[in-house]
Amino acid sequence: MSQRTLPPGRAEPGRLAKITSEEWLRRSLLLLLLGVLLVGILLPLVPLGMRSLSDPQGNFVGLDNYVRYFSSPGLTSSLFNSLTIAGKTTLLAVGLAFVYAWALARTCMPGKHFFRAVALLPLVVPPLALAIGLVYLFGRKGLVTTGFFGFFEQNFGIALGFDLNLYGQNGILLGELIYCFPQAFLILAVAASLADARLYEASQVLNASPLRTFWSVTLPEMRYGLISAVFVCFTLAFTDFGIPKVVGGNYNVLATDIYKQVIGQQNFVMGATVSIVLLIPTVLAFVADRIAQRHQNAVLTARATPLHPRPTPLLDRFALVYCSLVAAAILAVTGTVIYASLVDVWPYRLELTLRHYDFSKVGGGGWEAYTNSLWMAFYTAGVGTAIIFAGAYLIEKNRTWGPLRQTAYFLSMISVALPGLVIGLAYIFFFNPTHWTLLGVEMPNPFAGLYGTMAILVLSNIVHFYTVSFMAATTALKQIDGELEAVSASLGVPFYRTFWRITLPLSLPAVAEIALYLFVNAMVTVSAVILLYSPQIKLASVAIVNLDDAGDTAAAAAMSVLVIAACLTVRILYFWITRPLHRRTQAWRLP
Amino acid sequence: MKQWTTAIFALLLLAGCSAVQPSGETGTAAPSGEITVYTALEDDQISSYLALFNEQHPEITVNIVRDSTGIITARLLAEKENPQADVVWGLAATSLLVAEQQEMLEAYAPAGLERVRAEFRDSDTPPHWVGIDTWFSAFCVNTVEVEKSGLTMPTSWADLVKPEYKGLIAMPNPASSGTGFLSVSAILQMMGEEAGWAYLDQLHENIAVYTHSGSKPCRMAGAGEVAIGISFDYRAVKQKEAGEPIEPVFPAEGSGWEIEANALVRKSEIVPAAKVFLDWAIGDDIMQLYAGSYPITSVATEIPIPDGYPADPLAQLVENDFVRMAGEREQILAQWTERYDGKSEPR
Amino acid sequence: MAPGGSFLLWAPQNDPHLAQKTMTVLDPFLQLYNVHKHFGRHVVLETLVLDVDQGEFLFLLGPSGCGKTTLLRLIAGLEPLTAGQILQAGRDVTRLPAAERDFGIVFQSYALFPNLTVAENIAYGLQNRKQGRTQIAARVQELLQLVGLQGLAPRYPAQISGGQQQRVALARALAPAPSLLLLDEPLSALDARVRAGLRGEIKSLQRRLGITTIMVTHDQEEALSMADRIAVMDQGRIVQLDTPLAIYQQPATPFVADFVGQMNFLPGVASGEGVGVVRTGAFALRVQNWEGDLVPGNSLMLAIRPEEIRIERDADALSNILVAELQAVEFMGPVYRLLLRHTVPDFCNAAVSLTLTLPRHAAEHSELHVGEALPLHLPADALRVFRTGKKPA
Repeated sequence: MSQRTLPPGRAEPGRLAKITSEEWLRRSLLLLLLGVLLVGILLPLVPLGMRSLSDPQGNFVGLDNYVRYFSSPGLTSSLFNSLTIAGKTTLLAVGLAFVYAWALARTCMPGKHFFRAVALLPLVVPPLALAIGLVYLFGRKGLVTTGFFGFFEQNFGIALGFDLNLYGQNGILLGELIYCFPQAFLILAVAASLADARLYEASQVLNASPLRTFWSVTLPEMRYGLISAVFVCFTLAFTDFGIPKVVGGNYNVLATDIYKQVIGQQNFVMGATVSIVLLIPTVLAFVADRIAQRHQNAVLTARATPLHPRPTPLLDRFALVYCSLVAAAILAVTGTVIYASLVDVWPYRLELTLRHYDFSKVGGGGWEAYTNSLWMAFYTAGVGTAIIFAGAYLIEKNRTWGPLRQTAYFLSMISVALPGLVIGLAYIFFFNPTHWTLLGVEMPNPFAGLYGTMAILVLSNIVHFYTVSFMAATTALKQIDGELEAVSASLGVPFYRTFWRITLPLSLPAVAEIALYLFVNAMVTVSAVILLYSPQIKLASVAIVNLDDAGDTAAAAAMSVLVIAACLTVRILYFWITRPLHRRTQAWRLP
Repeated sequence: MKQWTTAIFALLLLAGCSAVQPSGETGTAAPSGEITVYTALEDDQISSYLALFNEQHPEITVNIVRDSTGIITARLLAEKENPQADVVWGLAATSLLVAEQQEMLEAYAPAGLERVRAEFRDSDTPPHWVGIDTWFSAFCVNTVEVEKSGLTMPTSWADLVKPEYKGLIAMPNPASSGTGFLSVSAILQMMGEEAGWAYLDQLHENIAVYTHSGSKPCRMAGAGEVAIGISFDYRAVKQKEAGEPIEPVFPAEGSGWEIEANALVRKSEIVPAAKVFLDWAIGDDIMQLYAGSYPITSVATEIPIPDGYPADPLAQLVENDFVRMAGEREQILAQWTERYDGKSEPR
Repeated sequence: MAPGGSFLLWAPQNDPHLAQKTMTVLDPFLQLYNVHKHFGRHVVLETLVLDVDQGEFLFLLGPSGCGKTTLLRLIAGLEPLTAGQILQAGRDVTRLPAAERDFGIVFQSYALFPNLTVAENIAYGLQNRKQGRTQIAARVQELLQLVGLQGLAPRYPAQISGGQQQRVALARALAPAPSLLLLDEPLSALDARVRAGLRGEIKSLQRRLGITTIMVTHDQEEALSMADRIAVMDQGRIVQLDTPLAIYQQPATPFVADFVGQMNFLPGVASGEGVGVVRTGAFALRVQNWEGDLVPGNSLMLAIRPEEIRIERDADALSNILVAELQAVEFMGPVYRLLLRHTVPDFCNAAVSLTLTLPRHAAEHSELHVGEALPLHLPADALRVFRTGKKPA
């Protein structure tokens, strides 16, 4: 076939497709998203890093602060302590959650729904409340320490009291364990439910012992879940400061150091330095997890057949006993918080009263703080879900501007490696000054108006919980056939209409899930907002810290109960609202 | 459905951006508006005091930032370039002296200043700070725990270093707590530098935890978490009243003490409402309330000394050189932190 | 130009609509000039030229990875081209995004909107065009009738069969009355029986509507049975563009020969014994059709369709005879397939496999025995000669 030349007068077209108004809109939205991600995630880290290289007057001093940090024995011991806590917690939480998830997925024990719900209960409990529960259980006057206030001693003549020596490493470990358990469980439960029955049948046919099946089938197929769980637990335990704050005693960790430096001594330079030190292991863990997950696709085959466990009386009984013990521990801690909030004077006057719910005589902001928290959680859920889902859509369902989308994707993923305290401190440096000084040039800070407002609290929450929500949104979007978009385009339907009529309805369950996740986390989180809240906008979770600080532990427990109640209510509402919603918009799922 | 959801989202976006911001309106006759007040007063005191202010000045909105003395001081100093607070209310005088040295306080003579006892206010005219009351060290001793463990009731600082109290005492960290600092400064002034630190070394052996706030040791004693909390008078008396098994003990050697004082923060725009607040804060009405909590107030009142306090509170107070303590504050805290911070509660 | 001149030549520049109409008469409906596409360093489409006529049913046929789907997506504007130009109805659409072009598309996965009913799916592309509700409803009814799905309007895609889903996808693509229909392997997800039925339906629908249609497939049977013309593609190039019959009978390359239908290949050498004589081992075969010179001594590749080979017991009577050993007989229903082996001494005693199909009756009368040497007649007019010495993989 001969090559025809172009007819005269027709120029060779360039590579770029003609940009229509719709494409302009798409690109503007993508740029807007990138802008939000830059301002919310990346740019604030710049002044944080700069501050750690400067003296309090702002002069560049190189690595002096780090040298000072690592040469002061008190502070380096914190790094060691943090690593110890994170390492031990990860080992214990992942181990416990692994068996728990395995028991729920692979045995025929009864009450699975109940045990699943209990395992996830700590997700709606602020970490501080967990610690307060531990104080009431294992503190010097705790229920367990005193043998239920001497109940056993008086009635049976045996002293069942047991002193855990709570304040210090023990207390932190126990608290972090309960805090991290549900997170690990969530990941591992998914991993455990994805079992391929064919592998087990093959193993059975080959006459492999259950133990060998476990080593050669169960562990390998759950390894990516395990890696993820390890990453999540390590990061959480390494950066959490709520629990060490309450039950840490004299056991200092990095997170409390940052807090001590920033809030206690207003030493922002050292705070920034410790923040960077805190950031390094979490970023490393993040990178390690990403590298590991790259190989994941190969493991799950589309043709896997689901595994239906068969009754094995001995194993089922063991599973039931094990899960009951874990569930009892979780319920005990949560229940104790509720009980403590109702006791008049612990441990001397055990009459029940609601007086601790009258916050007028204590600090922290009381009911107003609670209302603020509810609003903040509401805004975070609303605005956050909109930004995160739209962002995931723009990144996932766009064809042009690859490098830009990859940058946005990277930013969306990296936020999970940023501890809340780091976000909080970075935001102070970025948003507070009325002027930025860049290379000696002063320029007005366009975002200065945000500082001390509800908006910055909402933004910090969205950023803090961005990645998990983003991944949920991306997964949901990936499940939607990309050709739906192509068909819509061929029919001349603009992308926003397709988004509204097709993409969004198809993703509604994921959207609701994200909103719920954001609401609950905004309600219970302390780390970022404690550095950012203003006296005009006090928050419930911060109030718990302040109440506990002032020694009003019962009031702190009461506030915790309110937070838990709000989260549970929203969860139940979510259930009620999404069920008919499912029925209406998801009718197509029915056969 | 469509319009409805769009409206909700629009609302959310708007609400997310609209912010509660302090607006310092410059009123004419009766200044109104919003002020931010930094204070280290106790939460339960603030609520009753503030109720009075709100009743008398409903046009002024007060945003309270309460924290321990050390925290409020650090925050105040850190915000030197861009002060957030309009007024400081009930903060340790030693802290205010430090702030004054950094020229962060605006001299202001509140209405009724002449009624305030001379030793309770800055000697400058107009003064940079004006006191409202004093508070002093007290031990909160849990009687139930003492009896159960067969301990003796401590009556003096000297008693606290007895080995029988090992691990049973909580004390505030002087770096963050004003109460902690006044106790430490009293010890150093009473015993002298060398003996004072030696005593603190010994005391350190018995301390279970150094807390961040001055009231927390008393709270812990009230809950039985420790047997003895080194705290201050008001907290001890209040908790006993609330029915906790607490016996306030005022040490035989005398108590460290401090003046709680008010000041006007120096900033580019001083709102008139701030001055209204400072005038009110030493007025007769509020003094009556102060007197209900504290045996010693800066303006004499008719209120008798509340139950549970020493009959002659002034006799309980040790000699205290505020100016010297303010000058040496940083150095004392540095030394203290180096020696004992390991046992400090986070913060 | 003076009014009253030739209509076809007189096309006022200020009336694009009229200009377009005139153009369609003059030019092919769809013109691809030097279209080129690469992803990074990987060339997906070599510089490529293709014209599609108004109302034509054109097939893009080729193995997976040959670039046929990419070519379709370029035409659709779902993928930007690296270089080249695309004209549709005389209009340069090269730089237009999909939404601004005029076509309907059906994907292999159907890509029906799962949350919309059948009727809503079909109406989806109409709702954006400022049409009234009743107008849209009428059009939907019309299309449902066209594809024979009346009564299924309120169902969701998951509630109807695969074949029905494909028809909905077709109706949805046709709803805005596009001038070009693109079909991306629309039948490959269906089972054989449904597929055969839909072939005829799509073909007759296309005839009736007279809509220019491009269909991508890797199924040569589908292409042969439905196409007006087939573009056979390999490694990013169009290797042959012709009618189904021409492609079957005169494949341009061994690749086409092998890919479309079945083909036997025999290595040979051009012989000096006469014009058009090729030696393969001990046998001399006369060929009729070849291109260029047959230089004696050159290695060649002979090709012949299985149904063209005949078994000739009276071997002496005819030329063009080759003897091969019968290895197996496979019953295929209407025909028998004979697998034979022919040894070529010149080529290191390489064994060449030959396939031959015989109608059932003919085979049953032939008394075939596995292991016997069968004389085969390879008619000169059925033998194709390829210059390449290698048989395509």
